[in-house]
Amino acid sequence: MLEVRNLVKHYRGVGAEPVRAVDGVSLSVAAGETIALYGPSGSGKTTLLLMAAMLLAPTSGEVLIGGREVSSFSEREASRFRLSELGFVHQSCDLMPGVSAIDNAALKLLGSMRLRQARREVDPLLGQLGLGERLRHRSETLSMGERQRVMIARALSSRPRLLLADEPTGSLDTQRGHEVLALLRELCRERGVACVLVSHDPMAAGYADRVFALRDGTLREGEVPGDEVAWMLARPGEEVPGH
Amino acid sequence: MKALNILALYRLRLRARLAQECLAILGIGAGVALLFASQLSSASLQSSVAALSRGIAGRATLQLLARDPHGFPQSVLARVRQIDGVRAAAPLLEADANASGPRGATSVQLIGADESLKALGGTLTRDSALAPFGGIGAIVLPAPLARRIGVVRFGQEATLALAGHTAEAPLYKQLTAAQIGPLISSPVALAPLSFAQEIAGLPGRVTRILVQSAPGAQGRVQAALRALAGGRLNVATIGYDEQLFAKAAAASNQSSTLFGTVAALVGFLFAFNAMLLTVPQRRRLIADLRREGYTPRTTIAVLLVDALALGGVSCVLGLALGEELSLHVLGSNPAFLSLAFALGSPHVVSLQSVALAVCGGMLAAIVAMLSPLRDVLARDPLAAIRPRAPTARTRAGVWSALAGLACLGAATLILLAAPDAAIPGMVLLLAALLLVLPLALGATLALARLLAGTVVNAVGHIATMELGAARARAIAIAATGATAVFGSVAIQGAHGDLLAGLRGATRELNAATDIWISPAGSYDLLKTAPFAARRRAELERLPGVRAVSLYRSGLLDYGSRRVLVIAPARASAPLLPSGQIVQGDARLAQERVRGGGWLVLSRAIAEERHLRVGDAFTLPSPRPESFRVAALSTNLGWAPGAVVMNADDYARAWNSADASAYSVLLAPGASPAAVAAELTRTLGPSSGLSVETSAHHTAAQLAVSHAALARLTQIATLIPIAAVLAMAAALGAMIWQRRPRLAKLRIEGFSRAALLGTIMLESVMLVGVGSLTGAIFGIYGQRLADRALSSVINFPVVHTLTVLPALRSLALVTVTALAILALPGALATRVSAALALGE
Repeated sequence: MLEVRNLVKHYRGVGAEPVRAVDGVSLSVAAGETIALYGPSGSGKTTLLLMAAMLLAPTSGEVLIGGREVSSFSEREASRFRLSELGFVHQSCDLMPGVSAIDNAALKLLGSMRLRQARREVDPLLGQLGLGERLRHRSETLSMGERQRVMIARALSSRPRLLLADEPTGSLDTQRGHEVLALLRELCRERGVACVLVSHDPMAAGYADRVFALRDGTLREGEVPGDEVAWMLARPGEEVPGH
Repeated sequence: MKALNILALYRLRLRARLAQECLAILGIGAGVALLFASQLSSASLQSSVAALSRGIAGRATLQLLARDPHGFPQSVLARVRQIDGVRAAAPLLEADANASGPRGATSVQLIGADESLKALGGTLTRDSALAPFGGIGAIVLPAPLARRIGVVRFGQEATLALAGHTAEAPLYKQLTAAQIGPLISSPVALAPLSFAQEIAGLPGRVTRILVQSAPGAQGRVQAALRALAGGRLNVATIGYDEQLFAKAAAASNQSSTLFGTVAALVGFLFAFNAMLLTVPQRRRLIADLRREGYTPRTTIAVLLVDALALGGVSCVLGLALGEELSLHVLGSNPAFLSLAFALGSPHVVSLQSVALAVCGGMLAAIVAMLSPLRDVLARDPLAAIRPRAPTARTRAGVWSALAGLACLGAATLILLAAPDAAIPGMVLLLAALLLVLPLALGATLALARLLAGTVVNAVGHIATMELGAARARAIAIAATGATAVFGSVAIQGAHGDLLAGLRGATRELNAATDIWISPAGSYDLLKTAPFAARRRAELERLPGVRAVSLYRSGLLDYGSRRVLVIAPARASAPLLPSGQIVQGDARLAQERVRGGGWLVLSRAIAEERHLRVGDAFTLPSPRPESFRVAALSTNLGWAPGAVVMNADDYARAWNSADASAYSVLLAPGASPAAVAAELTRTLGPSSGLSVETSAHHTAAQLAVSHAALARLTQIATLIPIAAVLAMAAALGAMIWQRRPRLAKLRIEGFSRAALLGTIMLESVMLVGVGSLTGAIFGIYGQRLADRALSSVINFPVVHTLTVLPALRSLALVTVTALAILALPGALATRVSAALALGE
């Protein structure tokens, strides 16, 4: 479903040397598959995610979604594609304040259908996510876990082919984190959605079919590191025992 | 917490919110500037009268005043000096004149005085020679006036046209600001008494005697002066002129007060909008302080330090801006008032004006800063950061709407029953507007949601969601637009109605004349300077002239009013401006006034004196006469009020056959311009009289009316400008702050165009609802202002429903705010998606 071929993103640095945020990354994610992408801050995770979402043009390389090369899309084409084919879950999960859970979840559908119909669409999804009783509650009255589930509902509402989740458990406690990750995997499998899970949280690996590590802009496929904390806190170039 | 620690905490927090703080300073500063400028411009005129009065009178406390420009015999002075308790008395002769020189002409008040005036210690005579020198009289002029007419050298002659003749007066010296202080801008020409009497053609006569009484003797002296006056002269305190002026300038002052109120509110809303940007931080601060164990008192102290710092800086900025604004935009324009009062153009910064503006600014800062006071005082230390229940919001909205309706009801009561309370009425109306606005906004949002549900487009949904989310800020922004459009529509509408009324009155007053011949000088637009009319027969014989009649008119100090008395010849047709009659039968009144012994009185004067149509009363004219009231009229455009009688009655009551104008009627087919030229040639250059066609005179009077109302135009222009800037700044800041959410929407797949559409739709709804509500209330406000102008001040007002101007104001404010907003809106939609991901 998602195929990234030799993707490169260089930024102009302070000195003469360019910053290689993403340096020749290639990967593919099949429909219904979930991959976890680990990496310390500044490793290029978000840059990779932005390029996959057509929000950042790569220096070179290709991004294919459903077999279509999308990195050369115009702004308008990219927007339309994101609206219908792509879902995004953020860490901050700040929903529209003052707006009900169901309307927040329906936001993405409003570009293609009327509100009533959009509500009908997301209603079962929210039920599936355990928010059946909280549909009419305003976003600020929801707990962080509930908000994150509304975000997932919004991301999946348009039946996307690709879901990009950026630190989806970042602001949740362990138990809520597990619940959210389990739901994500279950829904993605059920709906055949390719899911890229970017996280600091080692428990995400348990819900991914494959795990990748991104360091200094390059990707390495493998197991989750044993000493995750040391791995994540290691500075670029520093060796961590066992890696 | 110690005071020093509170200051340190303020400094630390300031770094994080410097931009918002600057915006708030700008907002409060703008409000203070508008308030201060309006105060300065009205206080300066009042101060001009006071300065001249005190500058002449010095230590004098009482005065004996003539009731007409002919004055009274100077011999009265000796009798005044004989009164027990009189320490000093000084005679004055004051006459309106037109002073001209090589560089131009200007209206001045010629003041003749003798050495005894110096004994009173007034500023004006401190450095003047009041004795004729070398047997030749001379005048002393303030330096700016001397320069304006080009008479600047010792001995250089100025031409003074007064009382229907001209005289040459050499300059003795120019007076500088160092010598006479604020009087430097007064339009006066000072001359030795005997010389002034000679050039005014009033030998041995004076118009005023200033009296300084011994300590504790004022009451006794006043009684003795009254006995001496015998009901034919006025006895008053020195501040009498100021009282008369205050009455005459009441309409102008009320408009300034209204302006000040609206301006202060716009400024406050500007600041409030800016302060709302920091509400989340302040709420967090309150919660932090309360959680850590600080008492509500300490928390309030911390917030008050914020408010004092913000208010202090804002006030300094506002005072500086206001000073500039008053000098360059809202300059004092005495216009019509200068026809009856000697007014300069001083710039007087009174302590009262500064105090009022500073208090307004500080109050705005404190109210804006303490807006989450309820959270500070709440039992729950974390109340400030807890979401408010929607039911509480709904309840607050209902109460607010009910309070608004109550205010609207009270304003309606004022409109119907107590129009003299127009200013409180306007304030109530403004309060009603602001209280009803949340309801209007809520209804609009509900409607927008309903409409958005019928179309397949996310723009409408997102816009309504965003607006519903930031309710307080949305209301504040809409309130800014509403206040501005309300002020603009109400003021502009009343301005238009008043102008239309004045136009009608002016045309009617000039309807019975084809050509006017009257003493030269702009002061004589009201035709109140008498002259000996000896050339009537000569003028009547000229070709093209059908008839020449004597028109009499003057200003009469009647209680606290300087009343305009108009007296056309009996044969004038029409004799009365029938369109201005507001009570009584116009036709019958015309017959009665023509017959004599009857007059028409402004309704405001009649109400003040408890007079009705048919009542008899004694007019305090130079020779008090009994008249009956034929009808009640408007004030004919003269704020203190007017009286209309026939010219013969006037001559009898003023004990003078002098006229103040020749009213010329043309023969059929005669050209006004050609006859006017012939009349000018016949009168010759030394007559001191000017000839102008009725059309020209009407146009000149209307131009002065426009100038007199210029302040209203400036107000109606300035308020929307301030509001547009305030709204654009608030909306811009709101959108800029929302960039992370916009970034998220971009990630979700919403295009830049859709996001810009959302921003613009939100702005249209906010500004549109605010402006529309403001326009509707503004039309109501116009009605209230019209009613006050016509019923209380008694102006001729033509009531109109100014829907078109209201729509124009509405469209102008909305479109301008949106146009200004488009740029930050477009920039905000270009936000990097990385912002949403916290990178």
